[in-house]
Parts: sequence; C-alpha cells; structure tokens
Amino acid sequence: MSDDKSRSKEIDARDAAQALIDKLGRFVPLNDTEREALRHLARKARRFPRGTDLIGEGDKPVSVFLLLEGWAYRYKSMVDGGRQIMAYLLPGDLCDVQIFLFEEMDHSIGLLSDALVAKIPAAEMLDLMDRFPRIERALMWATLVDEATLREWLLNVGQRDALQRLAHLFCELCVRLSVVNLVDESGTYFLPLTQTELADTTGMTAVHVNRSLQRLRQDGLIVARDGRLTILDFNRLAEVAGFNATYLHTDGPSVEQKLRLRAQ
Amino acid sequence: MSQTSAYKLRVRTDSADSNALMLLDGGELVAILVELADESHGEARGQWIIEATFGLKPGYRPEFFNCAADAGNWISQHISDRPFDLGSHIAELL
Repeated sequence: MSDDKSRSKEIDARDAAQALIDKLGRFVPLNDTEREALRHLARKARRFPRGTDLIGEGDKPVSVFLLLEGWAYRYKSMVDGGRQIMAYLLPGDLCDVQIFLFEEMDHSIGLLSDALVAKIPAAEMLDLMDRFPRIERALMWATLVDEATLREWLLNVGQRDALQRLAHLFCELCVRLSVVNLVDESGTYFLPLTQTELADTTGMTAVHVNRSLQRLRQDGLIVARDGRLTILDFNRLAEVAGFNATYLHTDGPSVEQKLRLRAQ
Repeated sequence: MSQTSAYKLRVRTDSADSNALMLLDGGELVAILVELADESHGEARGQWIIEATFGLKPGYRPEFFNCAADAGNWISQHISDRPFDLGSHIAELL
C-alpha cells in the first residue's frame, strides 16, 4: 500500500465495523465491551480505489487489513501474465489475523471494488486477542472457515463443470453476504466482478464464463445487471451447483453453546 | 517437417458458438478454434478463440483473434520451431 502524500485521508469508520461484529457474533456471543473493542479497530480507515494492491507478493506483512466496505481478493500472478484468484474478501473480513508472523507474503491482496479498509498494526491485533479470548476464538473460527472455503474452491476448479462452478460461487457469496446483511429481500447483492475476474477465479476462459452466465440466465436462475446479481431461485441454483453451506459454518446457536462452555 | 492441416466441424458449447476448426499436426489433434457467434459476446462477436489445445505448453495466449487464419497461425508457430503458413490453408477451407 503506498504511503505517499496523495493517499486518502483517515476516516473514523467505527460504524462500518458492524459487519465484522455481525460475522464474529455468529461464532461467539459478544458483549458490549467486545463489540466496542471490534469497533475500535476501525477508528482509522482509508478509502482506496478498485485495482489498488493492499499488499503484494514478496512484501513483508506488518499489519492486518480489515475490510469495512467493498471487495478484495487474494491472488497469485504467473510470469506469463496468468492469474489465479484464491479468495474473495468481503465486508467484515480480516485478511489473515496473524499474517505478520510471516516474513514475506506468498500472494497478493488487491481490491475488486472501491473499498474502505482499516490497517491494524500487529501489536494492536495481538493485544486485542490477549485481552479478549472470545474474540480470539471467533477469529480462529473465521480463519478455519477461510480454510474450509479454500477447500471448497479447490473442489470447484478440480471437480465441477463450468455451470456448477459459477452456480456454486454465486450461492456461496449469497450466504456470506447474508451474514453481514448485504443481500436484499429480492436476493440481490453487489457483485463487482468482471467476466475475466470470474474466469480467473473458476479456472475458465472469460468466453466460457460468458456462455455459462447466459445459460444460468436462460434457465431463469440469475439476473446479472449493473454490477449486481439477483438469484431468482436459490434452491434450484444450489441444486445445479451441488451447494451445501455446511463449510461456511454459519449455524450460530450450536456453535455459540460450544464456545460459551469452553469460555467458562 | 510435420504436416499441419485444418478441418471444419461443429462443437457443442451451450451457446450459438458452434462453427469450429480442428487443427491437426502430423495427424494428431492439437487445437480446436471456435468462432464467437453468440450475441452475448458483444463486440467480440465474429472473432475467433482457441477453445482447446492438446499438447501445447501452458502460457500466455491471446484471448481473441480477428479471423481463424490468425488463430491458426498462432497455433502453428507454437507447435513447431519453423513457422509455417497454416493460415492460407484455413482461408481456403472457409
């Protein structure tokens, strides 16, 4: 991330930390003090335009990025210009809670849309986890879910056909965005992705992504327009994809009980 | 020097893109080229793409070609150290 004088000014974005609170609240019951501690993480945020790299492969990670608004992605570039997208980071997502333990980034994190991002110093992150064990557990939980999601993406590119890959991705995004209240009642959400970005995510060509999107449209499953996606029939789309949301572990109550017991 | 040739065929792509050419090198299939005919391709409609390759090294490849001959020549240059003019063969075929 450039530190030159032209960078945007700092914004107090405590309110925007609600997405993080909503997400972690699924895993752990948070009290007012814990919620306030999470809001505190967002007191110094900045806006960045689409296309900005928050950190590049080979850079030394010294802080953790908290995405407050907008979308980011993890990717690796090939020498010949190819690129594989390994994850999408959505509002409320922290980019690797303890990434600063590494000396060097093995991939890059860039922005897929204009975004509001808080850069949290390593010391602050460690202090937060020391002071609030339940937040630490919720963050560990979130990390495990990130890994589970990566396994599902591996299954996507390795085993599913073109239509299933896109259908699965759209179902997943719908569930993840629902957790942070970013899907409206009509099943519509912001989807700032180009066909090339979808292609680099699903291991397809942009042309084949286009054909598959057409097919999903013709089958009455989705409408994609002006950077927004509407899922017309979630159950049918999930059936096409073979989607089962278990790996996202958004099933709050049972989890809550488990962690409540362990926290005693 | 191996013999490269092209044949017309139709492919199933779940879209209106069905006109295709298969390229053979020494009797072996090396690539399938497809014409973008579906309306959904917008400005790229009418251009050709390399739909699939067999035995080519991975790496950069242009996404679109203005015509089948351009795509054919790009393939032929990548399967042999000696570029040969597959393009004229394709032009005759179409």
